[in-house]
Amino acid sequence: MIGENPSFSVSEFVAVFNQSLEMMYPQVAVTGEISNFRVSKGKWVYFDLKDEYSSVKFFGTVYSLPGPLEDGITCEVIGQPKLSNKYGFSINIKSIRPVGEGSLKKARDLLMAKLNAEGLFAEERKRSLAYPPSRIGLITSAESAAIADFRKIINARWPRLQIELTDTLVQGASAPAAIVKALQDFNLLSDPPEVLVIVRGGGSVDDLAAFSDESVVRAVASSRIPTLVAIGHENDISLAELAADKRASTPSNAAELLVPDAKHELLALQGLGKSLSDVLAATLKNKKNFVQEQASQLNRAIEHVLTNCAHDLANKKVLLKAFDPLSPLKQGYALVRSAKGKHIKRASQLAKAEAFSIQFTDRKIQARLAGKE
Amino acid sequence: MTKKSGEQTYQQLKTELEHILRRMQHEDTDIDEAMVLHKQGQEIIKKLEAYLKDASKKAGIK
Repeated sequence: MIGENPSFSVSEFVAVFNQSLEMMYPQVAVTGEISNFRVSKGKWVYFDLKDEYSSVKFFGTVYSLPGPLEDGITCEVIGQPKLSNKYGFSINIKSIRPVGEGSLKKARDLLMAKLNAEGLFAEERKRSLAYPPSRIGLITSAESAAIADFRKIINARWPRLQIELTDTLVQGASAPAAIVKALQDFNLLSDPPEVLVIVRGGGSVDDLAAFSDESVVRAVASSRIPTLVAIGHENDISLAELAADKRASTPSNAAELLVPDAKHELLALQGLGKSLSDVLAATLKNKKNFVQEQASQLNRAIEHVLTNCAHDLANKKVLLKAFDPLSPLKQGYALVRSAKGKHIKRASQLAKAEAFSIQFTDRKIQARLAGKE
Repeated sequence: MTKKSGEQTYQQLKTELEHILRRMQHEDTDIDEAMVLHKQGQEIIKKLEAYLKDASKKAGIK
């Protein structure tokens, strides 16, 4: 009956309706299959979520997307229902996440293709990790089995490693933002660790979805600090692992890749030390033998020279003795000198009655020339 | 080996001795000169013998 129904203008109705909605359902989570998905001007996102019987419009920005989406992917969308003044009823998107194994896989494949085309997974981008590092940043849940496994292996292999832990959500709708913040916080440190390690144990596709979220993958790829990521089990490969500098199959494997086994290193060093000692001893022995040989050669050379000099000197000594000017006197010759001491070689050098001396081998006598023949 | 200023080397002494021997062989050499040369030669030989003895000692050769 007229007068029993609340009466509004159009604008009044919209305002009242929205007020009521805000009181009753300020935020809702709706799950359905995407259809009519489109992006306008690179910024605005429009799609419908539908099920077998119904369809609801959604509106938001590209920043709320976890990655590329397309029709057919089932998502859970969290948003605020609202009746627009002009455009009718829609839900304003706060966050979206694919749900269900099939949808998650499809969304992951779309994102993987997009990021691969950008080169985020290229081998050339991968940096080598410090081996072993002295200090690492660890991003994981503090109460998980993953961290227990990781620490156990580290303590057995390389207990001196310093670990700075950031306790982080590793699954659920809030996990991507938490993981991204942890990565950013480490990268902003003035004295950052040498390696960032992200580990998470096994789980369902949904449990591991955060590590294939576009914001997380980009944060790993853009980290200044080299990254090692190990998510789930052997066969689970998240996109964050593909973007990381190094991937490990499990948290335990991550610990094994990160640090060497100290016991093995010590044995290897001891072996190396012994080899070095052996080489040094052999080298010294060779050098000593060489020097001794050189010394012997030197001695032989100088002995040769001295022997030659001695022979030569002996010869000259004999020669000098042979040239002794007084040796003829021993054979009976005499040396004649004038009164003034001049050597007389010829009789013609003496005048009659001139005094002269005659030196024999035993003594000298004085004489005077009586006459010549 | 360091040599004091003024000391002759082995080679210098040997050269001088050879010069003395050549002079003594020459027929123009007067007997008096020959006697002087002979004495000089003997002194040089003594020096050379001492030189070789010292060198052998330093080289560790007997």
